[in-house]
Amino acid sequence: MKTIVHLLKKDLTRYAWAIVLLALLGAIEIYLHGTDAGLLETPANQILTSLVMIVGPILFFIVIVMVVQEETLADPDAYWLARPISRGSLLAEKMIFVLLLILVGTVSEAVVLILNGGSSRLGFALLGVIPALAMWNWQIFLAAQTRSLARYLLLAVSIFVGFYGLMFASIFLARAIPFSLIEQIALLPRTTPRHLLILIQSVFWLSAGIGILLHLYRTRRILRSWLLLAGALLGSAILSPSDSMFGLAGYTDPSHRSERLKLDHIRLPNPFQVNGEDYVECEAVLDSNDASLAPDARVTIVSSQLNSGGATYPFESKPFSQKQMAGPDGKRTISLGTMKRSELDKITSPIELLAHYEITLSTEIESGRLDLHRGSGYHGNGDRLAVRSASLAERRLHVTLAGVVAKHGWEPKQVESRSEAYDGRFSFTLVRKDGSGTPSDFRIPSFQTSLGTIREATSEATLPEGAKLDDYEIVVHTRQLIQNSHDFIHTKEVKLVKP
Amino acid sequence: MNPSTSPVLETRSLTKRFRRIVALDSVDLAVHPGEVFALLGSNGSGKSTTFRLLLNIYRPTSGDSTLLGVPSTRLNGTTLEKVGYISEGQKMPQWMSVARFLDYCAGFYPEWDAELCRDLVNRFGLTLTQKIRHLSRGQRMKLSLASTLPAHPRLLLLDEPFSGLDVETRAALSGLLRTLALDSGLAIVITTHDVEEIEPVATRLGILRQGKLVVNESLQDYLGRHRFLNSTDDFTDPLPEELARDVKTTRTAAGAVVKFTDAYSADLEGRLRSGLPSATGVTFSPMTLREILAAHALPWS
Repeated sequence: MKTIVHLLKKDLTRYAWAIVLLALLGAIEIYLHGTDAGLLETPANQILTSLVMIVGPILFFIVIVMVVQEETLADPDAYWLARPISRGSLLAEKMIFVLLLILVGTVSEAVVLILNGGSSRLGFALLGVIPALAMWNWQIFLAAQTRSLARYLLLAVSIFVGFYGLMFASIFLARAIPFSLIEQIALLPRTTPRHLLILIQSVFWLSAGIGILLHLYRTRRILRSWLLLAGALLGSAILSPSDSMFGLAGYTDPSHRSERLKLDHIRLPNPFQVNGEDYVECEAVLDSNDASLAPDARVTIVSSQLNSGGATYPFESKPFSQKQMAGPDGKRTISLGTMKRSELDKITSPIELLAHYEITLSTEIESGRLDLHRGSGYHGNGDRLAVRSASLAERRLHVTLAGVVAKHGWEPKQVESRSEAYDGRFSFTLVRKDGSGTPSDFRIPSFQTSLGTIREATSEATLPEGAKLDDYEIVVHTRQLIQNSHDFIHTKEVKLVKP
Repeated sequence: MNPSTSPVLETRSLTKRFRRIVALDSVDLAVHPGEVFALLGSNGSGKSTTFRLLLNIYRPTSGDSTLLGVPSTRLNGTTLEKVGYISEGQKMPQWMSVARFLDYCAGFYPEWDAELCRDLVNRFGLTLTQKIRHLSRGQRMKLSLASTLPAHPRLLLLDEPFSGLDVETRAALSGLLRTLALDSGLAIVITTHDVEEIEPVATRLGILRQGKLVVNESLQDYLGRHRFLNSTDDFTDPLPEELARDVKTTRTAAGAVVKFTDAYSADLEGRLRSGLPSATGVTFSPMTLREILAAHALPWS
């Protein structure tokens, strides 16, 4: 133990600058993800986000390699080989150092979680240390076999290229025989919960990693260590769900279902103008006999387009997470997106519709409100949202939201939407502050993940004549998804009812 | 040397092959406390490989070795506290200063002699604040010594310790090693090309040639059985067969042909005088280690 502490003191002194820098980056991350001001789009925030995104991982990666190579196994002239340093102690010290680096990141994640009202999920964040250590063990494994950062990079790139070369060769030359073989040896049922899989794989890789590292450090037998690693890969494949050799990456959500919607016709109810250009909103009126769509389901149009006369007319501003609306004759409608009037006028029969969508069923509870001004924020359960911008021009309200959602692999996985903004965790309603008028579903027609984990979502709505921004606010609903399903509509002769 | 004590270092048929190259071929060796064993050989003869096998840096292809009674493959921190190893190309943490490195090394040894460390630093003229990366080759060797000897090892393995040292320091180091071996019973195995430095220190000699230990005996005996044969006139008569076996001819660096024997004894002297009447005025003169190695055409550098 004395040796471990002695070595650790030396490495901590040597790399104090890196730990301070990582702690600083952690503090920046706390500001960016744990405060409303951090979510705003400012030049300073953009620089800080880039810094955290780029410098953080590179620094982490380089420091681990350098620390391990301080006492490399690859050099027979290394000073430590003839000192009273047991190889087991040396490995333990390196692992403790890596753990300390991981903890710096975990602490900032935990602080963000607390600031965002997610203290109840703190345990899951802290447990993230285990898979992180299991993963970074492999950095120790490679670094210990090389004498310099350049040699490490060469080895890492060779492994990367070799691995993908092997994969491609398997697919194209051996007709994926290795894949099917590995799929056949996977023992876990395909419905194994995701958090259980993470637990099994993390514990397995942590134990296997420590075992292989101990063997490498004690014997310095590189070939045998790699063979042990190959054995561990086989073990990991056995401990995977039976439908995927890639284990977690190919995890199948057991809640997934397929719902095929039936279309009656398309109507164009809401014309509007933006910058002098006429637009129309296109709504799909569903067949009244279609009972598959639950009344409170939300529909997200992932992609949609009309084909006519050999030309394609894609929809703009496809609506995310919309509720069904009551259409003519009691039929339900969903929006397919908007289209320029000039484009629409070019379309002639026969018209073909192609639309891919996702349907989610959920329970929703109101959890907060956002004013329509920059910087207004909401946080709860570890998630945070803030209004980046809100503007009103020609009755058209344009709102940009930024948000971070907490995700932890150890948490029992909830049903989530892959198409909706913020994984479908939120829905929004636009209401008048004085309570008058009818609350309208505030759809998120587009979202993107900007640098880092901050996700930006923009939404538009048409307000009544004379409306002011201050009269309105957005109600944030937290959603608990129960079920999601994907499918598509492909109708060759669509009836387009123009106003 | 005290053969009654158990050896601090022992190898039995120690062999190391790197693919098809035999770096060390069935070497048997035993070094006892107080012995200074000089291991000579040309570059690539297996000297450094021997040390690396002893210290479990390499694994033997066959055979085994022990250090302080512990098999090399099972060396642990406790055993290594009593073993000092200094190699010519040892890579030290470049970023540390001399003082920090010494302080760092001290932390690994429970019996660190801070006073001896200070003494060595002063004797070697090391600057404590200087970074290791700025030290010359000779200064690094001095630092290696200053970071190893204060641990009071029972066995010291020195791979080319005189390399890069100035004449004065070589002499000082030679003296220091002799004192340590005599006073504290320290066993020293030393590889070097500097035979003049090692001759006054070594008690035993080993010579490696292409991985084989071709000489392994007391230095005193080795030097004792080698003599130049000096004669006022050339031996005109052919040597009788029993003498020809013991009297050899070699050529000096200047090209002169000289005779020597590697089996000198009073008996040989008598046999020579009686068996070769034409050899009048024959005298025997001692040979230095360098002269012996040259006479045998043994590659030491």
